[in-house]
Amino acid sequence: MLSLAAGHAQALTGHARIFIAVAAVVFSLVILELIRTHRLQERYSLLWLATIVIMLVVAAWPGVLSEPGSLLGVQTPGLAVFAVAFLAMLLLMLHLTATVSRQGENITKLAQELAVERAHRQVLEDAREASDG
Amino acid sequence: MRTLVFIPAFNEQGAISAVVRDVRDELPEADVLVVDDGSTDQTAEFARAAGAIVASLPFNQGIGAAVQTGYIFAESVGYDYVGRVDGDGQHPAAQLLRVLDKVRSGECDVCIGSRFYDTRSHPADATAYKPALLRRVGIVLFRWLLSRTSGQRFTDPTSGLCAVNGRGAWLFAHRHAPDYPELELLQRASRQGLRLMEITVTMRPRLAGKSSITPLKSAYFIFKALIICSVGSLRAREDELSDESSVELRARPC
Repeated sequence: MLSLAAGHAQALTGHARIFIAVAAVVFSLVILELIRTHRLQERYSLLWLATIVIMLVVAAWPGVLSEPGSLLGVQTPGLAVFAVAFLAMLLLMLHLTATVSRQGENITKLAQELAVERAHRQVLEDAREASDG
Repeated sequence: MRTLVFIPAFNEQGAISAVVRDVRDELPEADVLVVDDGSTDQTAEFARAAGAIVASLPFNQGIGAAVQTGYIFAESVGYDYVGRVDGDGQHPAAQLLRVLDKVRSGECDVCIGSRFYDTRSHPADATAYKPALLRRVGIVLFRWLLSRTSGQRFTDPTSGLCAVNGRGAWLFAHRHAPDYPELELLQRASRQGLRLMEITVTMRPRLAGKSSITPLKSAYFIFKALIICSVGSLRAREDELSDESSVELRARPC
């Protein structure tokens, strides 16, 4: 993806920019399909649509990454793409594991409530049977 | 004064009937609840046939959630005393009776039955209960952690044979301890100022089936327990329970 030839070392090659743009378009089609079929909640779709917009911006103006890249100490725009994407992935995964934890806890609560209700129902049924018989 | 004895069980169809009958024989005044932790065998049916109330979790949630379910049920009905034995038949109900009586007599809020003799006073009996190596490492570590938080000496902080009064049941029902319920609950109870006690009990080998604890799981549990305990000591006392609930806890009759 990165041409190391003199003069090109500081920029994304045309090939890489086309690749990013095509990936962004395919990605957005997949996400639209997931939203359409109710398999992705809107709040997550926003996150992914923002990712796609950023990908398109990078493909159109690769220069935008030189600033955050140099902040991270990365000189090559190509590497800056990866560095920024990697950090974004880490944050996203952290967010997802936090979500999974919360949902796991909610599921446990539901299961427990159901179990306790089942026990109560059995007690009531047994009492009714005892009074009938 | 009403007593509940609950038995968390996961796929214990080979032992559960005998365990329920044992408890009913020894503690005829108590209600018996089996918390069926999403068993795929006939644990629930056998427990019910043996005369227990059955709280069936719709899917396996692990020992921590199953134990908490027992306390939630106890809370919802309003039992004054709650005892717990394992579903594999390791805990003779006669021993639970001894543990329960320590709580019912008002000597303590939480009492655990230890499988170990205190090696200081009974050096000769120290070999009576011999768990697998990793489990032993975990127990030694937990002992140390728990002694540090509670300022009390416990020989068997992973024992599932225990009894609590209403205050203990309230605390254990309202705080979730996912993986090592015994250790974490004891830690919380001691932080809340409940009176903890440990007595030595004799146990049997499990009646049927096999333990869900494997060496790998032991290692994993030890690791998680370390995290739980260290995070637990970072979570300052004040957030253990909100002010409101602390008041409620203190206001509860023992």
